[in-house]
Amino acid sequence: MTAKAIKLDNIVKAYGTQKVLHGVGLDVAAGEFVSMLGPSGSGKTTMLKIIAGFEDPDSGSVSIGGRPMTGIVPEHRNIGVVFQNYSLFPHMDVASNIGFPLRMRGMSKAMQKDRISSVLSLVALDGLGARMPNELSGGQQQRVAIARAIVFEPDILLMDEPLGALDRRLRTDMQLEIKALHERLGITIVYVTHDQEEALSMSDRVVVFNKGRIEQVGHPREVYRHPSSLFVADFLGDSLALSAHINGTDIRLPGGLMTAGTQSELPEGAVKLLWRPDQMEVAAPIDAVTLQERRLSVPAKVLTAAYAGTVLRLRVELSTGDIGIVAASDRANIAAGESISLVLDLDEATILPLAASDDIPGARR
Amino acid sequence: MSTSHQESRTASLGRLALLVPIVILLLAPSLVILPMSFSESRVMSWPPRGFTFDWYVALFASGQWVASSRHSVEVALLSTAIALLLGVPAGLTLGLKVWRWRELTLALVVVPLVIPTVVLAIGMYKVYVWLGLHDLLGLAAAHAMIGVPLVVITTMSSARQINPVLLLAARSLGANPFKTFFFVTLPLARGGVISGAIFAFVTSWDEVVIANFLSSPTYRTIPVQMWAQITERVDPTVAAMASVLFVVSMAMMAGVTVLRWSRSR
Repeated sequence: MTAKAIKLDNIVKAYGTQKVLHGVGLDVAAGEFVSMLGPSGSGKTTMLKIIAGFEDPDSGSVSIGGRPMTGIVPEHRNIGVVFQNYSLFPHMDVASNIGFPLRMRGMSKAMQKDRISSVLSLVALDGLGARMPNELSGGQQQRVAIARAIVFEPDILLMDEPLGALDRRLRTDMQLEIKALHERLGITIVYVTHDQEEALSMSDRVVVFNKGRIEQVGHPREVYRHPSSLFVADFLGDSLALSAHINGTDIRLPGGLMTAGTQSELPEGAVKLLWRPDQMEVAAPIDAVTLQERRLSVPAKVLTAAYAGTVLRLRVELSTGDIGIVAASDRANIAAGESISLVLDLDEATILPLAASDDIPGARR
Repeated sequence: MSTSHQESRTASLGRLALLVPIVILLLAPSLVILPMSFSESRVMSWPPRGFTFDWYVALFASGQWVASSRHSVEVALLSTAIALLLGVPAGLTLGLKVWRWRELTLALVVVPLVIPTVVLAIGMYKVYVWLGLHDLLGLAAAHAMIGVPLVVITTMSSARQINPVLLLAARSLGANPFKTFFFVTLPLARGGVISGAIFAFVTSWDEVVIANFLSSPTYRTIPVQMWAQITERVDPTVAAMASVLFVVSMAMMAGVTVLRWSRSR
């Protein structure tokens, strides 16, 4: 299959007075697996519909393989789309569903048959061509949908929360299968999801959407470990954010402590110092905030403790009033209401400016 | 035997006790016509006397009855075709698209069903005379007007069951709007289209009020012919014709029911 690159240039879209995309730009390389991640209403699905041609942007343009898509109807774009809830044609059997795009392209019956059987074995559904969609399990239906979307060798493949309707176990299996399929076919994939685990585990790059804008684009590790905003930090997983203040190169910490920032390009003013759950150590309770060799110890109180398999997921309130999530070993016997302290390495912290408009969803958890 | 089984048996007996009188009450007046059509009496009378096929023989030998049967079939087929042509696209649109005046549009489409037929008939008579529409074309046009809302309603209810994402999927797979309509939308709404067609056909087949106004002595449909005959002389040929009509209508409605039942399974 020939993979093609996608170029989104300053896409703006509004429904009535509701602006859903405020000038989105993105380059997806040929053969890349890019996830669009964001809460519902963040514009990611609208973006997908615009790439597919189901919606036209108010301004801006989409190009695929260097070819501008403006004015090109969906059926002429040669894009495979996999929808949530399978969307198989219920009046056609599996083979006719998969053969549909081939039939629309006027392919001979014999060639259709070859293609259908080879794509069926690609998605591990050999011999199920004569089944009707309602005779298949959810996972099987989604495989048929994927087969139907790739059988005509599309230039790119769009997936709109394709695993949303499946249960957790099946979802994990399918994630691996889709990833394997991507590696095998080398096709460009744009994958829309609101599940950060899915986005992080599958993609070459993650694009985080918020309120119709792209918040951050990067490799999964980069967006997880170095979020560019509190929104991204919070959306991609648990964290603890400590309020601090920066003055030049001085970081003013709670408890009247001061330290020098080692990070280059420090923001000015109110900031949050952010750690992921695995970057903190739980220690014995202490009375006051202390700083020792760039390691900050902060007294904290456990609000809730939830057992989550290999770790205990603790929701803690620091003596500074900040609330966050910490992972403790499940062998540590910590219960809600207990006093503990957290040891935080200042050199591991991600420093995020606290813009006035930023709401801090993490604080509410 | 388990109690739940017994309970359900009692319930179904209770339902039967209700159902039987209702069915008898509804059907008995129509069923009276069946024995009368086999009566040896020369006038339609109750109770029927003897048993004969004479009236059926007379019916099929009569040029008038054969002609009116042909007219009825012509009118019903043509009006159903027009109703489908207009009603299917309207029903699909009403079922799949949402726009501001959707409810109003639907209300307007349904209007012919709620206006008393006599009122419609008088109005049509005036307008159609002026347009020169009568006999086959006039009747077919008039019956199509009643048929359209029936087709719209049944098609719409089928179309509402269609997942609109399927239509987008078809487009993304290379089907233009035309192909999407014929390969996806229409097959998925098939049940509604077929029952709409049967309803429209049966309605035209049975319709007497409008037909009375728009037909001429040389172009009568079966109900009009029956009406005319009953007012002239009361011989059981009418009963025989009525029995034929009754059986045909019942058969068609049974067809709709079987269709729905088989689709719902």
